[in-house]
Amino acid sequence: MDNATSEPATIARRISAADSPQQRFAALLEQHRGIVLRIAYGYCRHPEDRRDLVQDIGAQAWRAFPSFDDTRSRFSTWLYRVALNVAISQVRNAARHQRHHADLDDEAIAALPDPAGHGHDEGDAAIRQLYAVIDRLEPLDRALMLLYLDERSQREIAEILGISPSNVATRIHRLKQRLRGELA
Amino acid sequence: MNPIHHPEPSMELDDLKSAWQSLDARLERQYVLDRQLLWDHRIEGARRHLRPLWWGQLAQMLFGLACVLLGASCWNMHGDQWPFLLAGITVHVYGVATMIAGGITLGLVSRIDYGAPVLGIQKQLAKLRRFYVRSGAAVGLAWWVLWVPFVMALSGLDGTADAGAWRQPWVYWSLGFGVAGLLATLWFHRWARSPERPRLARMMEESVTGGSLLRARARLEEIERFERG
Repeated sequence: MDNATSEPATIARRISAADSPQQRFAALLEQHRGIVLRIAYGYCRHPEDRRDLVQDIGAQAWRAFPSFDDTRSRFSTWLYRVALNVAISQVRNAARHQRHHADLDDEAIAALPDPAGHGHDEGDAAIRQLYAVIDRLEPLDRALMLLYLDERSQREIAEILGISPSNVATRIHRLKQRLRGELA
Repeated sequence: MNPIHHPEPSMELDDLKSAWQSLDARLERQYVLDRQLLWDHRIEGARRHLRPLWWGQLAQMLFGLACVLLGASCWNMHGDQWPFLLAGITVHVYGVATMIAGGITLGLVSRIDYGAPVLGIQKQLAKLRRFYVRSGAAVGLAWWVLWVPFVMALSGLDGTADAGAWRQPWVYWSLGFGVAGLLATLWFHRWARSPERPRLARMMEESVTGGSLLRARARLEEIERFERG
């Protein structure tokens, strides 16, 4: 996962001031690719939709990159915003199309190698349950949950979503209560 | 002793984190295969995404400009004949309104910065969608009535046109029919979306304006609910 505390030092090693905007963008995106992939997996079940979403996030991030100001926010915060904005828009626009609401792509989940070496059945069941929970959430609650699962701080979640930290705390509390009921 | 027996342990939100992190580790490995996804045609992709909306609004503004020129030349050439004067002004005003609507849409689109906080952008997108749908409907529905002054303005391009030829009963009938058609369209739109007619309501939901407007409204309400906490 992208560790927010180590971000500046890690980036500094890879990016120098002499880099062109494209090189700088490429290096930053490479560093934070996990954000794009996790958001894509959080919002899309169908592999083709996911592929489209990953491309769209990359395209919109590149398009919005000139407005990125690293003195005002971290790249990870900015990329979360772009990725979530694109994902929420795409999932809403696609809601009418059958393909985008296909059942869980079990084959795709099974095809992912398990680095911990666990049996597929055990890990897959947990991921399916996770997906089932995520799928029941509205797009904005889903964004909140994905950020929470990514272990972002309440302050950073507030910055990404554009709500107050206390509102984040309240919504996470409600989300936990709701899921406790659903998962019991 | 626990009196309640749970055959399967239940999961809570925090328990899901381990599943999420295991997925994250899997994605890291799969990413080797997907790396190219982030780069393939990225700039072209962004342009392609926006192209239909840009061209559509640009075409609308050009059409509005054509209407302005047509209307202005009509009322300018036949200022002494009230039917042409009225037709020219109507077409002129329609042209200006069409251009303004297209310009506002393009302005709203260009102001969207995907790097801004999520709720703000989602609200902006929902408002853009609502404006786009409403203005598009207004621009289109106006033609129930507008075709009469438009044809009059076209005929007025001939400097010798006689307004007397347009003071005929069929012109008034056409205008009346247009107003009735416009009102009937608006009424049908509302009637068909009633919950008492689910099949028709679903069809209307899938239609361009009805569904888009409802979705835009639903999104704004969802965002407001989320903001309230």
